[in-house]
Amino acid sequence: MGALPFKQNKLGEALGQYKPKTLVGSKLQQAIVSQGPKSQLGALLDRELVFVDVEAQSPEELFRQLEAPLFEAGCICEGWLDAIVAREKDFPTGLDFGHVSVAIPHTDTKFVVRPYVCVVRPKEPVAFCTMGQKDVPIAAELVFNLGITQKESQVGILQELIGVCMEAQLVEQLRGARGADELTQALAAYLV
Amino acid sequence: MTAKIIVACGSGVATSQTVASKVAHLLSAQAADAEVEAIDYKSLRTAIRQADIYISIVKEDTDWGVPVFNGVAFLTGVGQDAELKKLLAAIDEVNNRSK
Repeated sequence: MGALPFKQNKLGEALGQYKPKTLVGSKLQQAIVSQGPKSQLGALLDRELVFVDVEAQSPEELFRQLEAPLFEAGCICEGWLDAIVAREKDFPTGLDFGHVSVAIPHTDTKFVVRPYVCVVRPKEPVAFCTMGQKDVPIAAELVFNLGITQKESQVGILQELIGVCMEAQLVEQLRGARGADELTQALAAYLV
Repeated sequence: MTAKIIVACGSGVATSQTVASKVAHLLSAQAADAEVEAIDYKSLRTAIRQADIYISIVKEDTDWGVPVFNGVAFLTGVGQDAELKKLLAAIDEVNNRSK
């Protein structure tokens, strides 16, 4: 993936501060929004930001592959990649739920243009460090990159995500899903 | 006295709020005399002076002079019961201090 065409100029800054009230995404997302979901996470779920079989040897390699699609979807602004790589090093986000290990990388709100959730099921688990314990690696089978723009109103999104990870049966579905469509559907069906 | 608990995470984006809300919920179910506040890691140094207990989600090498608990246990539920038990004991200790 090449360099981003986007430059940090005045327009970029304006875009960075632009917080749309209505989310425009895939048809699935619009359908969920039009039904008035109770789930904040469900409203953010977008098939275009669900990826399976991603090959990455490290969190950084994974983030590199997410940069272009997230940028094209209008989710992030320039600087996001460096910021999320640095933050993951300083404040790792791997979580071991017993039945599954996941990572929930996120970064400073200033690099997020609109709230989003990006779901990755890597081809092989990716080694993330455990939250709170920089030197303890976990093998993340699922990676949920959260884009949060307002910490107060969006704290429920992370809570919902934690709920998803704790649901062993759902995690099993996410593991077994044949492709991104199925994975998205399984999540959407849970997040109603 | 009421135990003042602070929760800090790296980003201050959402993790500390999530843990704080979970802990507050668990503590209210136990009728524990405590208040829980989520703070940004950057303000930890200041906030901890007013706190009795610190729930951490980042690796801690510093001795803050207050009991420190593992916030990740409250996030994942793994080891949560044991951590809650220890937390309740620490709250009891604070509650029993002279006012």
